[in-house]
Amino acid sequence: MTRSLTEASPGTELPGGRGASFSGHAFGMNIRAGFQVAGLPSCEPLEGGGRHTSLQLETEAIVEAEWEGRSPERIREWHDGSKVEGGLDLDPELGYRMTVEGYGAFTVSADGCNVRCAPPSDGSRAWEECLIGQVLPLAAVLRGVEVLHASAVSLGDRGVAFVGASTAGKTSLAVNLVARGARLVTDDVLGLAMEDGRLRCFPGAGVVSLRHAEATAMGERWRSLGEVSVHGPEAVRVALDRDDRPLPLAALYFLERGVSDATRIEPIEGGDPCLLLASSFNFSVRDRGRLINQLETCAALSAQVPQFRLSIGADTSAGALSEQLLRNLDELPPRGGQG
Amino acid sequence: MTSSDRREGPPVLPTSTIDLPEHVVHRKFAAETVLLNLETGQYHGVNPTGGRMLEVLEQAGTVGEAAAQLAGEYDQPAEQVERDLQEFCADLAERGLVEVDDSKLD
Repeated sequence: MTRSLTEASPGTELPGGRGASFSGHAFGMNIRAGFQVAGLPSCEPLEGGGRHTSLQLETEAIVEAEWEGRSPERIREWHDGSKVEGGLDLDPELGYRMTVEGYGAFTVSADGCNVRCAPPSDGSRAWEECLIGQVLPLAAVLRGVEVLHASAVSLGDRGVAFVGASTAGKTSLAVNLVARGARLVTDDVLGLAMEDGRLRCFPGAGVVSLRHAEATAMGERWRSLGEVSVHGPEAVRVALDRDDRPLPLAALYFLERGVSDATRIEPIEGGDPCLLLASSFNFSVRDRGRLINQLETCAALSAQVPQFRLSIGADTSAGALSEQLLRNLDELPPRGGQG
Repeated sequence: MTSSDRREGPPVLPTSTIDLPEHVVHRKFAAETVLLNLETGQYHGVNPTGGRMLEVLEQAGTVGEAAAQLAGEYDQPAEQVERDLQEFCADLAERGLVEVDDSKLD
């Protein structure tokens, strides 16, 4: 028994207003929703339309009632000290359920085709960040897209991606490249899939969380890059003009800090399977199909995309780093057959 | 890999056939071949020569036939290649990545 949030609760405020709808794509999936999805630009669907997911709003009470009496497997758990803040559960029939304190609850069908969002009852819109930052990437994996913990920009008709842990500097680097003429492809989560034997990267969210320190370092330049949507205690969220095209990757950089005094960019000859496999954004879905898809995608990355270790010097600003990276890209020999 | 994950298998003979079980998949990367045991979730890497051995073993009938083909490709003595291949197969079998079958003796 499901009651859509759009049908009842006359006083409920829906993102974008009642009657709003969304059609676009992210992480390699065409997405439809009965509400505006903050952080995702409306755009034409991806050609072919093979992968799709639909989004619905729901209440936490309904989700709780549907899962009552089930015995799901707890896949992951998030803690704040000893307190459990949230978890990811898997039920063979119902699919996945993600609950995060303060962010609401989400369900994703086992095939990734249906996502339901139950915002927290306090009216907070933090759930929208969780939707595009965690839930849609999960749906993408279930739809056959591999996801890396990476940000990416486009330069011309090629994507350039940066893998790294949180605080490695992915977002700062991406924003500084956008300030120098690149276009944002995604921040933090990059979707990859094979199309006609060639690897393609897919746009993700069109919004970045720029730390205040980096915004200060950029001066006023960051304000001209896009629309500021939220001023948080640690970062500002800025909506940038996203490049909506699936693209081949020109290069993949693995960011690391604290390894050297000076910034170094070193090619990884032949690639490193361990680095590639460890760069995934999702370690929760571990069925046969997914693991094989992940292996195949990483093998394709190894064969088709030049890879580099980018050791960021202690005193190198994101601006200087972006200049150095642009020079490195200029020196790359053209690769035949890509595109 | 822990010692408990390795198992002693049957001897690998030139007449043995080698099969990859359904729960083992492998893909070629630029500089190595990666095998994934879907049952254990463990990844194993073999160098390009090992990757080529695996490819030939999948196509050839027996270890001996695979060794003969590889000896020609690498221009190496057949007896040495056969010994190397037997050792390679035994190592893979110990890790649960291949199954050794001696039942198809002539």
